[in-house]
Amino acid sequence: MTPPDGVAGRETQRERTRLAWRRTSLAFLVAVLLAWRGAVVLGGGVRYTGAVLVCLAWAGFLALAHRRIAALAAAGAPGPARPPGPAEVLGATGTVLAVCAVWLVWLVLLR
Amino acid sequence: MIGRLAGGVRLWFSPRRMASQGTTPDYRYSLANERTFLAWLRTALALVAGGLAVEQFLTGLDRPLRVGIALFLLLGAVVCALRAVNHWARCELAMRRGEDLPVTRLPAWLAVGTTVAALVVGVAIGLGWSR
Repeated sequence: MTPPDGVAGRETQRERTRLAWRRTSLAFLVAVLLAWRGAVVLGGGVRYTGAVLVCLAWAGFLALAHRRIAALAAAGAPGPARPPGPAEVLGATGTVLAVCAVWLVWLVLLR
Repeated sequence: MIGRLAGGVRLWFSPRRMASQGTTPDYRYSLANERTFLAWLRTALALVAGGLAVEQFLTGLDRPLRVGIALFLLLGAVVCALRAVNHWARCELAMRRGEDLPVTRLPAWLAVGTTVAALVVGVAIGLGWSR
């Protein structure tokens, strides 16, 4: 399918990308809530530490998403949008990996 | 093999190295590539949430089985997240060079892995394989 062209098409592309960052932030929130649910319901200092670390990772992700969304908005119509810098892409991957690492360590070593 | 891997990883970290290759593609394709990257990241996050849910909610299962399934899902999330950034870089590079987009068998393995995890959980619950 040919992508939509013109100013409206450009705006659609930017909007969709902005919403994709928002969706991913919300998906991250599910992991954060599950981590806190585990800490509150099952208890234990280690679980609370894990939940706090996951929260920090989420905060990092939100900061990256905000930076990327601001860059998309700053590009403005009708100029082309800049592609994401490796800072956003790697940072987003890194925060997800950090959450995994916290829980892998929790599952394997601390129980 | 190791050289290719190191070259790929260097590409993740260096916007200049990426920009020095080929010509700048239509930015709409770059944005689509970015959205695909985010979709893979959401898949990784769903696997993280699945791992946490198995660990917290399937308390009737024997602990080794429960932790095993959770570890399997979390390791799947690690693979997904790393693959997300690698695929983003490879697609961006292919578009800049005007080459075919890279093909991968990871979606197939992800489907197989998710099916296996679902079957193991289903069989374990169905057979009352619990404490």
